[in-house]
Amino acid sequence: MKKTVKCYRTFTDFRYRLLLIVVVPAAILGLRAGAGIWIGDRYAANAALAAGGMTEEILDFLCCLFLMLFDLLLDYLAFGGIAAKGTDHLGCLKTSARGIPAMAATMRADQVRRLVESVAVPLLGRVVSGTFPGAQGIRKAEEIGYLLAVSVSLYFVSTLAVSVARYWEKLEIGMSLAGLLIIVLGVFWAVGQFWPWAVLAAAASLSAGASVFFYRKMIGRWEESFYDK
Amino acid sequence: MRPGRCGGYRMQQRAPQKAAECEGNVEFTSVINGANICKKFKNFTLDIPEFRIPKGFATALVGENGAGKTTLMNILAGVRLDYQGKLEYFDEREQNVEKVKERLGYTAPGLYFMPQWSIRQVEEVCGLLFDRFDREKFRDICGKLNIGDGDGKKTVAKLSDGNRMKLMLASVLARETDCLLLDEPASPLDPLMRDGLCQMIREYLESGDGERSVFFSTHNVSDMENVTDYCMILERGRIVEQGFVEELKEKYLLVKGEHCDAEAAKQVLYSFSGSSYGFEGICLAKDLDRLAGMDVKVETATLSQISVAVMKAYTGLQLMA
Repeated sequence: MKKTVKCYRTFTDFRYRLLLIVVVPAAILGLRAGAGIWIGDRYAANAALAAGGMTEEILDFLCCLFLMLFDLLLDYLAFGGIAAKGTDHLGCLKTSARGIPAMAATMRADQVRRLVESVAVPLLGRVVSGTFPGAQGIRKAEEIGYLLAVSVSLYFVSTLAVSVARYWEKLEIGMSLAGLLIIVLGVFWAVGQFWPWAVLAAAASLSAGASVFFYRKMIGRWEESFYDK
Repeated sequence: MRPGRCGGYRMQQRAPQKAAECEGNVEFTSVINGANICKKFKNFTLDIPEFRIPKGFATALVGENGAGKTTLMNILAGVRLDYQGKLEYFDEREQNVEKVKERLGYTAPGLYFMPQWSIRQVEEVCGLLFDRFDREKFRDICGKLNIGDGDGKKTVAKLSDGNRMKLMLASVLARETDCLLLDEPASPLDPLMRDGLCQMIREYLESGDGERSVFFSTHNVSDMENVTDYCMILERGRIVEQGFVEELKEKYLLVKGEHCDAEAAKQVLYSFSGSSYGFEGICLAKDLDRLAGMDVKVETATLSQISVAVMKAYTGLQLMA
């Protein structure tokens, strides 16, 4: 565990970690809290708005969307093009027997960080806005199921986005991909409101599969770089 | 062994026990031994039946573009694994990959560090990957070579090609290694820095007391000549000539003569270059007698002249008339 953390700290810039682990989640939660207060005031002032009932869910989606986009952008700054073909960014890693294993440990640590944030930030968003399941008469079980479905879906979509984007050196390709994945996230979010437990099960399976698949694919790409094709 | 140019004199100074004359061929111990190294490409095959890098010396690998220099360097550094043959490092029976890579220092042209890494991050990465990496020494070398702005914040992407090479050199020289493998280290460097590189190589070898070796590939034979002890000339995947520089200079001589003798001399010389004023070329020492009767001047050839002559003899390149 210590070695993995050391590898993660070595291969990621302090600014990357500060932004991704502290600043961006804090900003999203701050905006969420502020939006919650504003909506609360508006709820009190406007019965029609209160009757809408979808506002917290829309904020959940926006929270996930921003987290995914910032994750993709900051991942590019740290690992952009690391799995790209025809480049040899890993030249220095290949000259050490520890190089590839150290980078692999960093990738694993980054995935754990992504999972924790994907689950924690949407849930904390509900806490800071005072709309966590159980509060204000919100039905607990289904809401928790929905929130977990959205969180795990966010993890799946973020994993997909960064894993694929790492195969290209250009940020534009990653951001274009993000545009497509927003639709996927939207589908999970929409369906999750009606069948939260089914979406949670599907998202969890897809997340596990995607995590393992892309991790092994990346390690395989690095090991292949020792050979000409 | 007579004192010749810098290389020969240095050879005597550095490792007299390691080189013993034997019928004009100097025997040496090897830092890397290779046997039947073979790698097939579409257009040619890298085929080296026997390969030895002398220990305690600076060896230059010279060859034209596409000769196989970088491929050979990558194989030696363990960065390319798809080859046939056997390599032994440091004369050890048990070849432990981690220990061997710890003792080798390798630099390559092109992108070697992630472009988004800062110089400080390069230091951190090297500290993680190698046990015997000295951070103070790394910072000191970066300062002396004027890499970045001194605060370590500049990223690799913002460095020029020359500064990236300097950064790579700093990263390997800051480690305790026994053999440096440098692929075209002089190419992106300015003339002043090339001289600095030669100085760094000399200091590295001298600090090792005969136990350290350097193997570098180069196009800039003339710039690197004053640090080269041993030379291998690679042409189309094969080592066509090799030897200590002093031996090569005794084997290949520079001959200059008058235009009237050009036609006759052309039949004798190993390489020939003529004009309306005269001719010059490389002559094998054993063929010197055949120039008797001609008004020629015999001089010591430079390593650059010898390399070009040998490469010309083996190249498939069609040079424009």
